Amino acid sequence: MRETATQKQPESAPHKKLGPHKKLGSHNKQLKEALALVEQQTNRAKSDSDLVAAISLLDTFPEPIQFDNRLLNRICIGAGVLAFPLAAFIFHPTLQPLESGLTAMAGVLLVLLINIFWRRHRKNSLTNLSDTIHYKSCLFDYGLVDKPVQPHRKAVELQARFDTFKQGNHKNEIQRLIEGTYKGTEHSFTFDYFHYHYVNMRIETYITTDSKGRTRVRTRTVYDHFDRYGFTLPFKYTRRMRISETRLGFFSSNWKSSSIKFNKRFSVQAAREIEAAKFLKPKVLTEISDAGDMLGNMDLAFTDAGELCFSFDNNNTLTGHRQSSLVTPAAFKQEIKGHNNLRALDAALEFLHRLMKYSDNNFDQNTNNKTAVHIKTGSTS
Amino acid sequence: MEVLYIIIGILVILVVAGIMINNGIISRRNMVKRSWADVITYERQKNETLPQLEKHAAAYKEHEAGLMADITALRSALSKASTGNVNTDDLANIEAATSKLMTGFNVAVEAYPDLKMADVTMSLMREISELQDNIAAAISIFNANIEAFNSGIQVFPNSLVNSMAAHERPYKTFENQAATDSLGYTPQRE
Repeated sequence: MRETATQKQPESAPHKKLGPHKKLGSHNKQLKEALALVEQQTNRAKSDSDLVAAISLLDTFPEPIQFDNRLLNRICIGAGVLAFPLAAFIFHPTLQPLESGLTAMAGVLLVLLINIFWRRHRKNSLTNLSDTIHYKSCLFDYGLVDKPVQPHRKAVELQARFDTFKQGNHKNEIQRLIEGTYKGTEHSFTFDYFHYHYVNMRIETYITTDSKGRTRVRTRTVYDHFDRYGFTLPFKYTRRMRISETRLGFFSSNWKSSSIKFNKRFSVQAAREIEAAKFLKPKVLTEISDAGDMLGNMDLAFTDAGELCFSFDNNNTLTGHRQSSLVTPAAFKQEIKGHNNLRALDAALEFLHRLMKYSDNNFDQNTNNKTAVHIKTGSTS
Repeated sequence: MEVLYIIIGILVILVVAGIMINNGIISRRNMVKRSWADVITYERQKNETLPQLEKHAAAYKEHEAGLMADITALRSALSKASTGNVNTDDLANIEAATSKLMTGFNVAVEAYPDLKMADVTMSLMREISELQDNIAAAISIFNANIEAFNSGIQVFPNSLVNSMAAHERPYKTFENQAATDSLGYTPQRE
């Protein structure tokens, strides 16, 4: 139906491509209703095919899908044109012609800004919904499940398990928790991806000076907001150790690695130095250094209970590269049907897998998923 | 009098800066030696896998003699390397002997599918593979430390302090000759 409607429109009149809904305003109303339906179906979607079905609700609209801004433009042009005589009429007895002109110009500028704002608002409604659909598709492709949590209660629970979450003095909350499974060549593991938000409250003192030159010392409360992202997962190859880009201060161990680059960037805190020496093999050191190059304020916390919390500042782990949108539903459906790559997530999970691979015991049959490997004989020069 | 204080102050700052630079040079030299010791330590860990390899060699009948000779050559190269004396030529010999042994072992494993699938063979291959990865990473760390050390004695004013106090000479980084040959390229100045 969409194709038929598109063929009927002459190429030289792009504004008429808006399809069968010729009446000004009617097209926008129908599109708005259709987008609301797409959003409802997207929220209920359980798979990529559900998302594709949701996008198909826009099939009755010709591509590229867009709002009809002709009415908005006409109103704005009319208002802009009227601004000059209106300003001249209202301010004539009191203002000079130049002042009337400036007032009218300000009116035109205001109308222009309203036009731009409204167009952007309409465009964003398409973009934001496309982002939501793409994000959900990425979750489906990676078998990730959004877990509903009580933000503060979950943060308190994680605080009991990891020092990483003992941060904010005013507010602590887990804003998002996503569960997933990684199947690697040698190890498989389940993980929780989290978005941790915390707020530090502090009292700041400042000096004010009034018009008579008198100074007063005042105080105000300042709230500093921070966000951390990362993974929690089982990790049984080392315990009670923390490796962090943040200085661990008095409690950091005296143990230093053999890498100048690693020592400059990371602090190591271990229950026993021998544990740090055993775990931080050369390959593990270079893996952590390389991951640190890609991430901001990286932190690895291994607990006594055999768990790992891997956290950082970067918020792009679940951000995929969306190539099309609801503006072109056919292409967008193809993109949603295919596999969406989350490169940052892949890199993070592969890094965790390599940490396990280079820390495990190759002759312990109970701990590993054994697969054949070909022996590499080259070394780095 | 004030001028004298200023001169004394400047001299004190210069002496403290000189001591800090000298300590930095010595500290980086020690890191080079330590990372070298790591490389040799990981190379010597191959000794722990060699008895298992010898046991396996008996199962790979057609290849036994060749594998045994390669194992002996690797043992000989490993025994010559010292953790205290930074000598990249020894390391090159070990890497060459390892490469020869592993090539022979891979050929032997491919020839006997049943043995290839055995758990112990797979574990041994994985162990050797990870050991090689660790050695490669140790060499990478060693070369990075050498770069930091060499820069630390060659840039000004460190070069001045080095010529007056530490008297250190630059270390040579380790280069994998086989990899360089396969690339057919070496960096050259115009």
